[in-house]
Amino acid sequence: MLMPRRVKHRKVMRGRMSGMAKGGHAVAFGDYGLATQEPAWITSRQIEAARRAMTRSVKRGGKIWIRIFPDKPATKKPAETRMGSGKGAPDHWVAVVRPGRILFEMAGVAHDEAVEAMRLASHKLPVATRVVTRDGAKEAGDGHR
Amino acid sequence: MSTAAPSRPSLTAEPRAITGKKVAAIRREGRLPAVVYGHGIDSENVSVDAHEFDLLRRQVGQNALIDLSVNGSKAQPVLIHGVQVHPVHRRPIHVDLFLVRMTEELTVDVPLVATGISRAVEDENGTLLHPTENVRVKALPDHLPQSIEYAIDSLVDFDAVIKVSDLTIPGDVTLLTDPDEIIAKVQAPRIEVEPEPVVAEGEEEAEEGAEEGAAEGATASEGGPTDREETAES
Repeated sequence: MLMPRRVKHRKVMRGRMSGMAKGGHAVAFGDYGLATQEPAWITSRQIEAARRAMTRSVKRGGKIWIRIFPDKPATKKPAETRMGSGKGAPDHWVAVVRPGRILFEMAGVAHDEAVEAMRLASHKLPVATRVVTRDGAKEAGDGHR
Repeated sequence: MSTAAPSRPSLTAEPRAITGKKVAAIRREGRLPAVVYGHGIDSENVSVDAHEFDLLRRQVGQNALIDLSVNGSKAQPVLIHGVQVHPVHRRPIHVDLFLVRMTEELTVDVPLVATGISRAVEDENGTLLHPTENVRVKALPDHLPQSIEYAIDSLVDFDAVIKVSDLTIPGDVTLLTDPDEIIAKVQAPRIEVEPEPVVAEGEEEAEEGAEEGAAEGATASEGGPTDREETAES
């Protein structure tokens, strides 16, 4: 699973997720991209599950890019603990995404295969998504370049 | 290699006084805010019909000259210099139109188009990658290529690459991109090897320990932030 090698601070504040993606909202490497339509914290487990779903769907061939990285530590208080007594212990890593952000990209597969792989991947994610193509149109193009 | 068509497509625009956040009202009316600028002229805020612009954009390439007529005035050649796209619904929200002087050279990015069939892709199931999608060229507005084609037939194995220097550039166009930059190569097919889940004894104990004393939160096998140093070192 993706996680930073080392961080400056073990715990960080939660921050805000208002607005839309400021960068990373265009397909840059592959032919197809999976864009989020909602703001969310996407955990490293969800990223890995989605990646596996895509990889298994296309079986072999093609190339996949992960465009997000879970660099934010999320903390959790133990179960049945009273509130207070400080912030909980670091529990997992998340990537903060805002609407429009491209999560994954694919290349080297036909249009239908890419759409199906991304549909399966989207079921592993906590957000509504949309398949976009390099030219910016949604679900357009025949997948051959 | 395709060049600009002799008859230029036309686009009509109207002057726009509304700026800032209030341009949202213009968009609701089906118009697209735009700005016209160029060397030696003052920039002018205009608006174009969103549907007309959408059709035009599908029809012409990214470096095509367009005859722009503002408020019924004489048409002037412009280049679509930039289109801002909404990150969520992916529709254009603003357009930059560059008013060109026909005697002044322009620097633009020209898209590359791959043609032919690569044996490494067809026979060996490789993935065609395009590390560079555009090349930067300098030319007079009339001679701007809409696209530059190149054949990928030479990509017979996974070591072969096509570089910018392999492109056929027209004589009246100056190439500015580094000639050694790779524009196409084929990546070997990916074979997914599922690693068998191997759980070391130490990790099992760590898991049990963490379940009992949940105060620490993350377990060693999960690779939580608390043990990131250990995971990275091990």
